[in-house]
Amino acid sequence: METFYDIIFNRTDNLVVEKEKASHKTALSTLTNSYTYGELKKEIKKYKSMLSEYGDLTGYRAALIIPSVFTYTALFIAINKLGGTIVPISHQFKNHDLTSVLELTKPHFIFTAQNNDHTEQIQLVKRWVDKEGKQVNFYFQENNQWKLNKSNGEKYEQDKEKIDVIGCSSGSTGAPKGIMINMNSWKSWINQIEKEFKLSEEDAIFSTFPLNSPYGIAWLLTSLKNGTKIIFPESFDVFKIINYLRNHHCNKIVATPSAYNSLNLFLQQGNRDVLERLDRIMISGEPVTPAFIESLKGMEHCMLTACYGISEQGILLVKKDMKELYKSGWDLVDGIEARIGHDDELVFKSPAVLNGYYKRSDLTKEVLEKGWYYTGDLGTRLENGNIQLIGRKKDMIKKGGQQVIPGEVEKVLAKHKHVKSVSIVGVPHPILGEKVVAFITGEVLVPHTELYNLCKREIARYKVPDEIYQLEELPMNQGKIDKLKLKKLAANSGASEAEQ
Amino acid sequence: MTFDNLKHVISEISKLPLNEIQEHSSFKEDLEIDSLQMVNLVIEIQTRFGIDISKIQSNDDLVSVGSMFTAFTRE
Repeated sequence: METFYDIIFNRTDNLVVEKEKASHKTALSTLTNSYTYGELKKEIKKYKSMLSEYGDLTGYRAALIIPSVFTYTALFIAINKLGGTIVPISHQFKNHDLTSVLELTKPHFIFTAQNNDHTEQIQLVKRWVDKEGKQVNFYFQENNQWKLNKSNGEKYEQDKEKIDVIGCSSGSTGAPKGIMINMNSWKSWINQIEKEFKLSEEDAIFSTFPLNSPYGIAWLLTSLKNGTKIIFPESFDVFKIINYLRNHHCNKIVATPSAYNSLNLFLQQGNRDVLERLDRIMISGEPVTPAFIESLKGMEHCMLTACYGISEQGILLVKKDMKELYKSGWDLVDGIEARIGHDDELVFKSPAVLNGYYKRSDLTKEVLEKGWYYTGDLGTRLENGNIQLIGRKKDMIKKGGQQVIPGEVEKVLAKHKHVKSVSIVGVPHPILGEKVVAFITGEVLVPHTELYNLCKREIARYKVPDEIYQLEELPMNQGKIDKLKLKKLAANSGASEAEQ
Repeated sequence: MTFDNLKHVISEISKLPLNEIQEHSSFKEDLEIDSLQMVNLVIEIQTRFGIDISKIQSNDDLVSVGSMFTAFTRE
């Protein structure tokens, strides 16, 4: 069975790259550290030996909630080499979002470390493990030492089929979905990135995509395979990133429009030299608007590429020259088939397709039919055969490149004893892409501080509403909450009927 | 821009009551403002008070409420 380790370290098709990896070539960088291929290999070996007592891990699930890029990468490769299933989880998750992902995936192993941004991840996981009362091998890092907390109880069921990675995202109802992605799909993801972006060994790529997202993982694997230097900041700290870019060679940036916008604002102020050194900017993860393309004026020396993809299917559409996007539409990525389904929904067939949603064959059946995946995004076919995106069928919010599912935030707010009904909408925002706006009703005026505190305790910071309005009642249309009206209300900063 | 003006904007963005925003409050630890929100905050201050963002010269200017105020009001 082929492993990520084989893809990275046992390439037979390019012995030159392999030879260089054996020397002191840098594999991976963060804003503060760099690691060579040798160091990465040694770290993988360390984890393989740490986990050797369990033998073959096939069918066992291991959750990684690790803020350190190096530790995460080494564990990711080691667990996969031992046959285990990796469940990457965002270290920004808190009580509600963290436990719902753990409940879905029921991991046999959990690895975590003290988070540097405040969250008591270890305590949260410990509480969950105690409450479950099952057999979980819980590894946590304290003062750079791994400690093991083995809980007793019945063993979780092993998976009968081989699953390489279960990527978790919040489902449209707020209950998480586990996207099963196997080796063949990962190889297609890697192939797509190699073909579309033609990486070279001289490249130094700066990526703002988190390593718990399939797209972030795909970039990590592709770079490691090709001996390309890739930098993942462990937190999105604009000034630290700018300092890094100023002092280190970076010629390519992979980012969402909102992350790039934030960097650009400060790069334009006296840091133009950093921009001059770039030769390619690769944008994805959020809608590419005409205003965003306009903001790239002055970057003509650089190739500006946009791509559209989804965790379930890899990269699907690309526009090599982003400036042409609204003239000639998106081009299909090689090997992808597309059709426009009922109600203008975009349907694709991709070799990087998911294997299904974990423990949710019902959901899989809803969106995957004979290899065709129903994206929930709307599009139209242009005269030249290209595709133009026109919107979303699902009401997912994209804030700062991260997905926020209204249902999940609604569930948390509904826990407040005075909240009678709640609805969450996304509203365009110049920096964040979209902001999260909550509308609530209640018999008494609910203090917003209580609602914000509730959200901050339960869900990742980026999911906490940016604004909350209390209405007498939520507007309805044909028996459903009229989200369009709410969006308009929010865009007008809450008309007179709403009280912020 | 007065210190009180700054506190008001921070309160709006961090969703914390005014009395919890002090000169020594750290953006990351005390107010839990992440980086993207920080950019949002800086842009909000620029728009509202017409202050040039180039006054922010390093990360140290964005450590605490006090350091941000000093940076924005420096000559």
